[in-house]
Amino acid sequence: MKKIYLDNAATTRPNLDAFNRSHAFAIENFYNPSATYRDGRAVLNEINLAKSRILRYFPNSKLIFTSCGTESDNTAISLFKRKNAVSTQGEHSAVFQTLENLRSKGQTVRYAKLNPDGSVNIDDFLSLIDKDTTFCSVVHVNNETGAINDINYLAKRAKEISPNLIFHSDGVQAFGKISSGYGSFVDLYSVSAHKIGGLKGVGCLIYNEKLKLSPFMFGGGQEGGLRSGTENVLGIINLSYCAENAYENLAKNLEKTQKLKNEFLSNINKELITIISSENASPYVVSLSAKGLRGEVLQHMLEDEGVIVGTGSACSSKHPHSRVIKACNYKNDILDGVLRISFSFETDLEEVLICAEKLNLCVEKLDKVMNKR
Amino acid sequence: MKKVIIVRYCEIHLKGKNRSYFQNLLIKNIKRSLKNIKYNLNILNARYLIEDFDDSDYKTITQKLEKICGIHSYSPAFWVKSNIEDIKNCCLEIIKNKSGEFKVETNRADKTFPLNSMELSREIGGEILASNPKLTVNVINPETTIKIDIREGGQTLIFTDTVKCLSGMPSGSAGRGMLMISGGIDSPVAGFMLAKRGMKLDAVHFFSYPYTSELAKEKVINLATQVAEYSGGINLYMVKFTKIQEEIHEKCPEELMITMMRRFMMRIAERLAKKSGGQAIITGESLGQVASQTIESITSSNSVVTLPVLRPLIAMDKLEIIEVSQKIGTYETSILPYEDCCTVFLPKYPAIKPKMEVILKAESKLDVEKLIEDALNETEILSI
Repeated sequence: MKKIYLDNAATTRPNLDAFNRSHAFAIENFYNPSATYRDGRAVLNEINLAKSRILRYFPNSKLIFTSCGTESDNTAISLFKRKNAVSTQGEHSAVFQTLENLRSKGQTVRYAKLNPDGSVNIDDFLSLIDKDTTFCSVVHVNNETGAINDINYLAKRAKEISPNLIFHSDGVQAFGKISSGYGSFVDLYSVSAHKIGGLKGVGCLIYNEKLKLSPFMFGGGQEGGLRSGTENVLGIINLSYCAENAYENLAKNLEKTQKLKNEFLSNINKELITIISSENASPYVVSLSAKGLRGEVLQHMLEDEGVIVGTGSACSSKHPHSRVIKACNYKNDILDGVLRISFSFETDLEEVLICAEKLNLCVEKLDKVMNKR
Repeated sequence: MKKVIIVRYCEIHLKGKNRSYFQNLLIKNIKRSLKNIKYNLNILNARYLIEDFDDSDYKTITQKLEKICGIHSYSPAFWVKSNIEDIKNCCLEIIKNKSGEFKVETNRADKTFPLNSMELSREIGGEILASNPKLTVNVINPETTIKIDIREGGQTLIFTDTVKCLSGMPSGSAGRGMLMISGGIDSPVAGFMLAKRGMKLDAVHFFSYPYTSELAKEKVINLATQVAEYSGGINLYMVKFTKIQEEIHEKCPEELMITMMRRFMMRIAERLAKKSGGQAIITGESLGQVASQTIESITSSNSVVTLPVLRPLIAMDKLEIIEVSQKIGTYETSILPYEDCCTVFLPKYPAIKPKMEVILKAESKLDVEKLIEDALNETEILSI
C-alpha cells in the first residue's frame, strides 16, 4: 500500500535537490565557521551566501540563523521588556506559551479574539493596543486552519496607535508558500526549515534592518554576537536552497495547491464533514471536522488506509480540544472531530483524491458505528 | 576491611521445614535482578551478603534490592576479621566524621570470641570517645548506632544504617495470577500488592484501536514494565477489544456498556490465565469507586468466571491507592492522558446496579463465544 503523507504542516519530506546541494557540509566542509584558517573562512563565506540567498526575498532585512521556529519566536519575544504586549488567540504554542510564561511573571499580555476561520479579529486586535503597547505578535498563517493574517497591514495599524512598538510574526507556515504579508511595518519574522523541505533543527529570524536586535543566547559571539552557538552549517545551507526553490516556484506552487484544495473540498462528504478553513486561507492547510466523531479515531482509521493526516485533538480527557479551534468559537461536537490535512509542493492530485475518498469512507463507517445508523 | 551489603529477608524466617524452598526462590530472584552486575552472593544464616561489587554499582544494586519482594532490609556494612584490633579500626573509620550522640551494640553469634557483647561494646565505645571529641554516649536514643555482629567463622560485620525494603514474600512463592491492567492508577497497584505477597504475574490489557491510540498501548507497556520490576517479569497479553465493544454498542442497551464489557474482559482474562497456568484473576477494583465497581457490578462480572478473583484494593480509598502508586513509581505514568478502552462509547448514565436478568437478556443478543474466540486469536503476547 502506497503511503500518502498529508501532514505537511507538521513537517515535510526533505527536498532531495536541496539535500544533494548541501550534504557536503556534513562531511567534507566540516570546518568551524569561526575558525581563522582558510577552510573555516570558506564555510563562513558559504553561510553568508546562504543568508543573502534568503534575504533576496526580504528586502531591507537582516537575519540570524536559529535552531528552529520556536527559538526564533522566543528570541523575538525576548525583546518585549515592559508595559504591555498584544497577541492573538490563534498563535502557535511557541508564541503563546512564551507569552504566557511572561504573563505568569507579572507582564501584561492581551490576546485578540479570532474569527471562525482562525484569522484574528482585526477590530478586537486594534482595540487591545494602546500607547503603552511595546510588542505585538500575530501569526502569519494559522498552523491549524491556514487562515492568513495581513500582518503588514496589522503592523501598520498597530503602529498608528503605538508608533514604537515592535511587531513580530510567526511565519513558519507562510514562508516560501504565501506571496504577500511581510513588509516594512513588520519587524521580526520567524521561519522554520523543515516546513519547506529543509532539515529539522534549523530556522531563522528575519528582521527589519532598522531594528536593534539583542541576543537571546550568549556565548562565542557567532552571528555578530546576536546568536551564539556554532552554526548548523548543513542545515543553514540546506535551508537557503529550500527557500530559493520555494520562492522561485511560489506562484506556480500556490496555484497548483489551490487547485488541490478545491478538488479535495469538492470531493468530501459535506453532510458529515464541516470545513473550518475559509476559501481564502492558505491552500496548504485544510482544517475540517467530522461533527460528533473523534478526530483521533479517524486519524487512526485513515492511517490504516495508508493516509497520514494531522488532528486537532487527542483522545485525552485532560486536553481534549485544540486551543486555537476552540478560540474560533466552535462547540464541542465540532472540536471533537477536527482533522488537519496539509499539502506540500510535492503533493499530487491522485493523493488528494484518494485522501478524500478514504476520508469519506472512514467518516461514514465511524458515523454508522457511533450513531447506530 | 571489605565493603559488603547485608540483605535480610522477611517472613521466611517464620517458615519451618520448607524454609529452604522460599530461600532458594529469593536467592534466584536476587540473582535475576542483579544479573548484569559483577558481585558475589555469600549466604549466611538468615541473611545474605553481597560482596566484591564495584563501588560505582552500589546505587544500582541497592535500588534493585529495594524492589525485590521478600527482602526486609539491607545495610551497607564492613566485613572484617574477628579480632579486637580490626574491629576497633573499622569502627573508628566509620565514625571519624560523625558528631553528636552514639552507642555501640554488639551481637556475638561466635561465642568463642574472647569478650562478651557488653565488654566489647564498652571497649569500642571507649576507643571511639577517646578518638573523636565531637561524640558523646547516649545508650537510650542515640543519633548513630554502630552495630557489631560477630559471626561464626572468624568474621565480623560492622554497620550503622539499615534501609527498610518491601518485605512480603519472594516472587513465585504464591502461585500465578492474571492481572487486568488498564492504564489507570489502580491496576498497577493491585499487581504490585499481589507480587509483594509472592504471586507471579501475567497481565492482560484490552485496547480498542482505532478508538484508542498507540500511545495508550505504550503507556500500558510502560506500566507493566514498572510492575514487572517487583514481580520478576510479566507476560503481557494485549487483546484487541474493538469488535466486542462495537457489537455491545450496536446490540445492547447503552447503560449496560461497561457491565457487558467487564463480563467479556473477565472471561477473556480467565481463559488466558488458564492457558498460562494462572490460578487467579487480579483486578484493581475498589468498592464503589466507579459504576462498574459497585457490589452489583462486581457480582455480575464475577459470575462469569470460576477462578478466584483477587481484589487487593477493594477496601482502599483512592488517596490510599495513589499513595502506593507514588511509592512504587507508577503514578506519573498512570496519569498520562491517553485514554483506555473503557472511555470509548462511554454511556452518559452507566447502570450502577445492573440487574442480572437484564444483563443476561442483553447478552443473549451477542455471539459471546465467537467474539471471545476472535479476540483471543488477535491477542499479542509481550514478554516483559
